[in-house]
Amino acid sequence: MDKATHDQLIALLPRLRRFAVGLTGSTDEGDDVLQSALEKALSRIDQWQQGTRLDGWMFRIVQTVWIDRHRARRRRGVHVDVADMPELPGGNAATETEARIELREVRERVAALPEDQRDVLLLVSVDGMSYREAAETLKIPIGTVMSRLSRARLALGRALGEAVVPIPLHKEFGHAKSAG
Amino acid sequence: MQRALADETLVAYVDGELDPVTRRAVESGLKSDPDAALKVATMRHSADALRGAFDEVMSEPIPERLRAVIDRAVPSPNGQDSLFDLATRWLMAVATPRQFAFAGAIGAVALVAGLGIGQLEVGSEDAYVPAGIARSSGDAFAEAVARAMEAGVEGATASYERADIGVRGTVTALGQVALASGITCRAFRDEQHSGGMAIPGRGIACRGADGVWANLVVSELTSP
Repeated sequence: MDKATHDQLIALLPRLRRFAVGLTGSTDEGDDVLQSALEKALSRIDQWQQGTRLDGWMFRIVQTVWIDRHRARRRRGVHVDVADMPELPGGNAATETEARIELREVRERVAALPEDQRDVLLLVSVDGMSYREAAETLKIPIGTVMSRLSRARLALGRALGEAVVPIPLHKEFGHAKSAG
Repeated sequence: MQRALADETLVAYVDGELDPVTRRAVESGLKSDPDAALKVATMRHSADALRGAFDEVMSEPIPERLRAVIDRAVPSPNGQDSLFDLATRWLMAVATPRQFAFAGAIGAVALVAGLGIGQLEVGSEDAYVPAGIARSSGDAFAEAVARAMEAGVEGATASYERADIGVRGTVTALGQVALASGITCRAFRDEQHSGGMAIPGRGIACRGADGVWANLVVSELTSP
């Protein structure tokens, strides 16, 4: 590995870490996944084609490492859900400010999404990739990116809408009043 | 009656991924489709919520164990990769991954930048167009690069000439670049003369498993 690749990887770490934490729903497990992914990547750095984007290649490895771990755990029969997950950065909920609780809730909702929606959502709506970049990273058609993303965004927006934002949607009530 | 707006279209609308024509169609469609408008609001809301939700992860210090994995992979001791880095960064700025994949697949193509960045054609999505002739020497130049590279030593030179277009030059092999296994790269210097003007260039040539040298030239546009 040359110096430039080394530096590029170091610079990528915060983004990769955010992705891994988002995928796993926990800082500790995210770091574990990222560490495995880095080891895997460096052991096969010759498979990365110089000139192609290192970030896409790395994101993809993080995602496959996570999927492998996730599947292995499911085979062992350990059920994980949001309630059992270690706490996200933010610590004790009782002492958190409201804003932090909201952020925590967003992350928990993301962790509860189906696997294939979560990675698309994290790449596009958190990391800021274009649809095309996300499709290239995950090696899926752009139409698949769009359908998974639309489902994830609707599910998340609806879940958060109820919990966080009191949207005045009492249409029927309003109508009944004015009609009556 | 327009057909209902698909969720895929709505999310692409919210994320600004639609072309202008479709975007305008969606905008007008939304006016008469309250269900779709609510979906748009929901999708927008989730995007807003996500934007800051993971920020603190970004600002936390990177755990030492992660940094250590990278630092353990020892960087190559020779400093010759800087030129390739330069070229790579430059290419990454102007080309897309797909073009690289395609250029890599055909391997033999001379990736020549010519006299300026603009001459490398990167506009086409599906057909990578090598602007090989742009270094005003085409095959003769590519052959000279290959000859200088084949010598396998720093300082090896090879000359080329295209009398028909008044171009001649000399390629000098520089240091070898440590790269991925199966690929050998070497930097080179190109002293080209055209119409009484010196056009120095630097480049990198890489040989893949197929044994063919592909080269990339970054011309130096400093005044002669």
